[in-house]
Amino acid sequence: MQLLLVMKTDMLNVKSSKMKGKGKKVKGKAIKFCPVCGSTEIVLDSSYSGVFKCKSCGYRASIFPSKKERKAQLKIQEMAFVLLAFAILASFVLLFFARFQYLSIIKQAEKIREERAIAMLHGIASLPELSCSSSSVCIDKGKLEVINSSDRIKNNYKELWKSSNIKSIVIETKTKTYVVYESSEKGNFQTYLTYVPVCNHYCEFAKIKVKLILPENA
Amino acid sequence: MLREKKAQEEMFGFVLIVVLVIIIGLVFLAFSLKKSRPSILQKSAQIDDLLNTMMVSVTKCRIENENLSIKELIRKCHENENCDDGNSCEILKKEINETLILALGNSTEIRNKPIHGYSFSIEVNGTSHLENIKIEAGISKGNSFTSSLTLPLGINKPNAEIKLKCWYNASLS
Repeated sequence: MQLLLVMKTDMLNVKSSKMKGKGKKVKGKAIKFCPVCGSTEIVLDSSYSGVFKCKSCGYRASIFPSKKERKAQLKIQEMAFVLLAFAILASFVLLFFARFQYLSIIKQAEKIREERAIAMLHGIASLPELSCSSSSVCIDKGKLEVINSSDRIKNNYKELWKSSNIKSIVIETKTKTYVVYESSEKGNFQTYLTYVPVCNHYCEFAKIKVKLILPENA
Repeated sequence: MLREKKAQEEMFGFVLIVVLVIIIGLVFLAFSLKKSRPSILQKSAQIDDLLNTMMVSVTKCRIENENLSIKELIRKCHENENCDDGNSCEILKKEINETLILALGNSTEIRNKPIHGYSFSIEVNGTSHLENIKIEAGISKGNSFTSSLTLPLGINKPNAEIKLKCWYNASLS
């Protein structure tokens, strides 16, 4: 459409240049219009010499009023259309770029959250309140039994888990599930898990699951 | 003639702008559609932990009223020593299989998970019964990562290389 407009205005320019070439200094092209119906389709009536005829309503007269198309107005219009088209294109590019940036920020946030969760899982297993006395990473079954059965101990650590955006910490062995912490908070959560041995005399294979509270826009 | 040339120049300029904008758009499109390499950070760390935990987990193999861990059972299997109630290598394979199913799922379950296949193997320099312990499940296609750990089998004995190769789909993030 824009291309057509440019072509049309260029054609007008060519016409007006031809007129200028004849020595007449015309700012724009004069267009006759019908005073009855307003149509611009005015032709010379072949039946009468010097009489014009409106093609659409048939009105005849020797003089029809005329209006001039202003070149400056056309130029402004053309410029406005070009600017509008450019603004629309630029806004599309900008929107695309913003969307691209937004997605990459979300991905980065997810990655950071994931790294934090992995560190947290190992951190929980290494807490002195849970870990074995031996140097290797493992959870003491005796300590776990005590924490699992005591609400008072669970409440003592409530603030610590809450400040780390943890919804729940559960340790599952083949035979039993131990709940270290569970909050009643509602919202979006993501579960992260890893494997850790739960030991007393022997070590059992166990999963440690942490539910993290996600931010609202995640 | 001059005017016509100017009109052509204007058209050329406009077309040039449109082409430039389209090129910029295509570059952005290519960037946004470019598949980012999936992050396997969490899964990889998880599989490392799985191997380490598995090695210290207790098994049903009893020798002199003591239950052995998988680590100890691997040594027994290499030395071809039996448990009180059966062949150490058979018990070892069964225990590893059970643990992997518990952690990653069985052959049918695993197909719908981000890690859709795995292959467990123990490699030793020279001949060993441990070479027979190979467990595979799920789909062994696509991207993969391997978690491994080295287990010394004893003084003047080779080391066992325990490997767990996992295949994951591209959606893993």
